[in-house]
Amino acid sequence: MHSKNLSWLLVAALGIAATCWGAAADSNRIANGKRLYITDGCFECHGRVGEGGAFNGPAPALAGIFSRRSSLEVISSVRKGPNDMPAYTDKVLSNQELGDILAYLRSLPGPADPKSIALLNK
Amino acid sequence: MSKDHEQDTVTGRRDFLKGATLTAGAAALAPVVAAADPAPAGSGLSSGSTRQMPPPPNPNDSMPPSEDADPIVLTSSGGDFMVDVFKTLDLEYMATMCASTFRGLHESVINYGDNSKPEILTCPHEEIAVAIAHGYAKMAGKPCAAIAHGTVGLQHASMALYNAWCDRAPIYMLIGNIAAGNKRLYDFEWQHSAQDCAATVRDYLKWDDQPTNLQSFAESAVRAHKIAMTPPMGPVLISLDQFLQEGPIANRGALTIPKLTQVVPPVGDPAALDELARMLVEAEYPLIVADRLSRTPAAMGRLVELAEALQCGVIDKLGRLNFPNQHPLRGGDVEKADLILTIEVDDVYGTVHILRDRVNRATIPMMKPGAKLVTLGCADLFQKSNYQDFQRYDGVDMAIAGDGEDSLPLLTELVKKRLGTGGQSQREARGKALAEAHNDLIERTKQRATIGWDASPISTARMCAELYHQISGLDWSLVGSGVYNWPHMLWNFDKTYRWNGDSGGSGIGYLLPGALGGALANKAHGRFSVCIQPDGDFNFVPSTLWTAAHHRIPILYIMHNNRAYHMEYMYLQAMANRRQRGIDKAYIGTTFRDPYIDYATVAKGFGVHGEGPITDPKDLAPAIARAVALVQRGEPALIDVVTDPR
Repeated sequence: MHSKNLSWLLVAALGIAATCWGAAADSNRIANGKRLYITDGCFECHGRVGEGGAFNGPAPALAGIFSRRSSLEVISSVRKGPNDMPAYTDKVLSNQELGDILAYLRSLPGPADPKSIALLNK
Repeated sequence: MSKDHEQDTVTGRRDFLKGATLTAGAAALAPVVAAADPAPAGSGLSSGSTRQMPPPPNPNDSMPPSEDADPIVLTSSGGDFMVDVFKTLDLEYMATMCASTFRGLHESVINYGDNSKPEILTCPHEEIAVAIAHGYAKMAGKPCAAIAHGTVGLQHASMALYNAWCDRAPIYMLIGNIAAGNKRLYDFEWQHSAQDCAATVRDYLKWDDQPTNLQSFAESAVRAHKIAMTPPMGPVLISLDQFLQEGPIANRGALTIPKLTQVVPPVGDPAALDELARMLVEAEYPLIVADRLSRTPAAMGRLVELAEALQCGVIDKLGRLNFPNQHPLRGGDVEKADLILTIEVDDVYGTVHILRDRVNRATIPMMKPGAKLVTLGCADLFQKSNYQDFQRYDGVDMAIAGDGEDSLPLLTELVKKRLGTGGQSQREARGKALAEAHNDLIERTKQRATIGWDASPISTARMCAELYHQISGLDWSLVGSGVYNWPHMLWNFDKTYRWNGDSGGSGIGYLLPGALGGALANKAHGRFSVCIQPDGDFNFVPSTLWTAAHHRIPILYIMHNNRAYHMEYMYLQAMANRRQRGIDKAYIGTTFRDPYIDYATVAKGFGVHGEGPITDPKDLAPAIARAVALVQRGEPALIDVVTDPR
């Protein structure tokens, strides 16, 4: 990653963090994040509860994403769009809105132990 | 009109007179009776009809010139002979959207042929008829006939034929036409006739013909079957002149039906296969990719034997079911391979490249430098130029022309000869690593399936797990699916008939009828057919359900109802994002939102058990249980499940 891009992302990440973490990630922010996640199309590829899906190729699960990816990496993915993912620039998704979406993603329970579901152990 | 055709017309008129039942009394009475009888109700010929009576015969017309040469009944017909020919071809079914240009053959099939071999399948649309034939052919391993008007019917059938062409599936397409202009009646018979009906679909036919006499028909009918079934298989078409069907047979004893002898599929050149065997044995990480390999149930075992001998990975692209999905060698990494063998794969380029759907469509090679690419299959033996289903050209290291399934035994034998004992530990280590990766992938897939387990709309993972729980103890067959990842990762596909491939050409409207065709073939074996049916596809051809109900074809449709043409929804979202505007409007023109469609009610309207819409995952199991019981009793059933997108 070029240093210029990295700097840009860091500034963006700090801005998003300020909007997200400056205020408590309360239920209003989560609710708004969920609304944006649905209306702005994130769910189309990643599922309504972040279970993942497919576009031209597999779209990763976002529930529990922060156990595998840093906030910076997630923000970078949203803003730049890796692989075939469309980029959500700040022109169409503000830092405040992205912060709310991240709050929603943080609220989602990650994957459970498959052994806890009998149907997955046939 | 060709000279041959002119002669045929003259001969045909003589034959017509010879074969007709003419009595002097009947002939003399015919015009009187015709004049005295009122036109039957609804015939369009009553006094209140706006349809005009035909003009008096033109004295120069080539039809029989006088009333006493115009018979009123026949004792034989060309259609009867056509049925005789079809019975030699083991055509079990004729998927039919009834039409006047083949009324002569239609009547022969149901009365002369006793509606058996072929049996009429009543279809409410030509696209449905051909898609049923498509799904049937793949599951049964032999063609099903489909028949339509040569003009308007064939235009309806066109997309389904294209799917079959792309899918290398044999379709025995028949059409009716009135070749001679002077034998056509009013306006619609002219609109429903053409010089060359097949022209509109010839780009995706292997072969077609319009025979002008019955002997020629017999030879073309047998030839068509042979061509359709010769790899690479594909649709064929015979245009049947209406008067060839309806006219009498002059001398049945003079007509012969040639014997059908199927072509033995070509096996790859032995020297080339031996060189390939050497490359496979010497490779550090050989990888096999298969797509439309399985023509018969034997293919899977043959591929397993080769993969186990080499302890190499197999990627199944699922054009057919080629390799057991729970086999530890299923999988592999294109980027790691130093030798990739594709078998019956059309999209070789796309197999070894990443193609990026971005502003600039970048192409990224996946193969490492120095890696070799070998193709084995029949695609190079037959291609056409207009439609681009042949995919992007790739400069491979060796291209072996031959049927994949029939070339595998020799290739495996040559591999085993070269294996000896050397390199055994390396192969075992390779197989062990592949097995671990396979197990790991399954565990991760199960873990991902837990996300949103109780969510509404219902996750596709939950829907597929609930379904499999109730059918896994049956001899099931997934005859179509709009969801790939969960079944093909977590179910046990251990026989070729567990999966029947997809549309081939991605033409929407295949799955509902195509799955029914697969189910029809499964019915003879007592298998339990199930289809995970996307709503978008359903809406093209919903009346397929009537055919399922009418013919008592047991199949369970589970609606994957995400209330959208979801792939297009995502594409539109990507466009909006790329242009940085309107990213919350991609649902416009891509979704079914206002109102929602009630598929259970639609199913009931066509006479099929329907239940739903189901939005609470807790309601799934009992609904599936009820539907499974019905299907086991021989009925079709549909459950509408409102699902998350993918």
